[in-house]
Amino acid sequence: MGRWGRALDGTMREHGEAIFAHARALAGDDAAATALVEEALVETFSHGHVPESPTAGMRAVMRTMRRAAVRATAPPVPPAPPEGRADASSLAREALTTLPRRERALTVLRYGEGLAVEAIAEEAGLKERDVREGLTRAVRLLLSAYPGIGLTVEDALEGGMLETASVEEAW
Amino acid sequence: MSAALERAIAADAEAGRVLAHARKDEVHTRAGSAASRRRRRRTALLGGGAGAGLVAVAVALGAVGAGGPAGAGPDDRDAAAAPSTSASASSAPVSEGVGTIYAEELIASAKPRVRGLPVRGQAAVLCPSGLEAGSIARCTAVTVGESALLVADSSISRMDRFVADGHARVNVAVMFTVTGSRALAVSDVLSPGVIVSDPDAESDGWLGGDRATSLWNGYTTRSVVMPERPWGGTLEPTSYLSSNLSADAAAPDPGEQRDPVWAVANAGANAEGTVVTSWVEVEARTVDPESTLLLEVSTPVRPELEGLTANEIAVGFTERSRDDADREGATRALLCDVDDAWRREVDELGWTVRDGCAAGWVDGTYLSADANTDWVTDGGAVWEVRNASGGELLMNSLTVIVEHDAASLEPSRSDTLGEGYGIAFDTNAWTGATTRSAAIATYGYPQGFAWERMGAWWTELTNGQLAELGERGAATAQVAMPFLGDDSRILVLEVPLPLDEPVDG
Repeated sequence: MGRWGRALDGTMREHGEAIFAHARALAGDDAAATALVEEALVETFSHGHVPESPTAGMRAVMRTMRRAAVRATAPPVPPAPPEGRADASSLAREALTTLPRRERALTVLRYGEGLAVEAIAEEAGLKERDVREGLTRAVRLLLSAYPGIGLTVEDALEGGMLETASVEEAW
Repeated sequence: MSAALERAIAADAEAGRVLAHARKDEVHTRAGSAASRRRRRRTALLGGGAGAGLVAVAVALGAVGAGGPAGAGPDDRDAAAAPSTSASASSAPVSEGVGTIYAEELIASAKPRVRGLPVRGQAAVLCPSGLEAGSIARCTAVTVGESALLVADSSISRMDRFVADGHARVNVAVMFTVTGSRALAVSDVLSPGVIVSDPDAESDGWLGGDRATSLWNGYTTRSVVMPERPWGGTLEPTSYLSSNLSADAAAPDPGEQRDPVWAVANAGANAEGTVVTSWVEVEARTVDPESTLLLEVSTPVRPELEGLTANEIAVGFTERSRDDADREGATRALLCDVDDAWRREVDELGWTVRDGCAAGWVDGTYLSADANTDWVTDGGAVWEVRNASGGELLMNSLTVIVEHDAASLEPSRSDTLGEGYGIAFDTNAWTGATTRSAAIATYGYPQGFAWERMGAWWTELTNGQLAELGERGAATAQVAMPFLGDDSRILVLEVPLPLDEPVDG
């Protein structure tokens, strides 16, 4: 392997955990997250351009994962076995498992990364209209699964940051 | 906002960190191997190592194809359904706009394009919507914008050609870059090209999917091979789009119509003026049920020197036995019979082992292999295997085989070697006194591709694999080559990988 191989090694050594963390949040289960990471790594490092640094590599991989995740057509991940806890976080996590992959990824970009609709569209290469529709569906599904989750469609569509520059560092 | 939802997402992310500890290394290794294979395949398609460092290519091999049957004409899904090309007088110049360029903006700038007149702007066509990729349509010729949006990169584009026994194969890889300062809502894969011999003439009605005399079927209408639907992404300025085509031809009978592929394969005067034309659809913000905008790109063919094929190399094939000593000026070779069942297997697996290939010698030196200590990482050994034939070689694959006891007469079991395309024999690859096994891959591209003169492939063995070889072992690179006009055989050239070179870790 040449420079690209060293860039891949550096990216995984320094940011492998963050990449898997982001993938797991986007995809919702271990198998899908693993596949998401692997495909994004191949896509990022098999082209001529090589990221200039491990951080640039992480950004490129995460961006590729986001673009793939919002285009996924898989049905919802089967919910995890109940853990005997009924706190709000557990209920919200269970509600997340009811979302189809695409809606889940949009929800993570909106509430995990705090991005506004416009920023999600830019980041994921989608039309704003599609992001709005997806987020609206996601919020309604989440509310039907856990009415106390504390979401509104208005907040989903109107809130969030327009800047995407420091999103990856959050992971 | 929802604190519960944020905590739920954070908990999933934490699960991802735990997952990383369990799966990171294996995913890293598999991705590295896959990326390496893609890079090698792409490099080979673009002519070996020379182009590898220069490009940020996006060659999608799924788009590679030999096209449809020759002789089929455009169907009746024609330009009558295409919309008016009248420009919107209020549209701002494309070059002065901001943000991503979508189809609506370009359509608003469209002007009719007329056969024989110079193109000012980007050549494009307006086609009926909803046609399948690969179908042939009649579309309205237009220009959009004020200048070209896509420009050919002739430093990377290439046309490799091979002719033998009355058959020809032409492999074309063309690359275009996005110009200007704005992103463009197009895919990075152009349609497979059409080789057009007389691009400014009015068509004689002949369009064979991957070849045509002309695509003009009127002064303002064009025959078009529909590209894939847009991918939903955009390409930034300086990004590459690519198109690949592999086309076969047979020598025309006297009086038979000129075949553009045969003409460029033979690079005669008949090939002058020939271009390769491809299309890519521009995504619309709002789906238009009536029309689809495709950008059209054409580039003149610049044939490389004619390359060598298995047909020519195998002419002097003579039998080899396991006891034969090396022969000066000859290359070890295998002739493998293959059939449809084998092809299905290799299509499915990407590579396979063929047993019982006839072992022999072919006249001439075609390969060299040298240890390369610069590339050694974490111990092990790396070799550069070079095309030493003096010309291009039409090849399918380069694989490595490892024989743990090269002199043994015992029958051998075999297993895959690491994660690459290779195989390890617990004794050796001999299956009889004059027959051996070969590892053959197609990389999803059975037509083969050009291996440029002195172009290098690398192959490597780990420290552990080397240790298993011991003193009685041998490692060999095998280069598989397709025959033109004969898909029942494959020629495999062999070159020993030197094990006695000192290799520093």
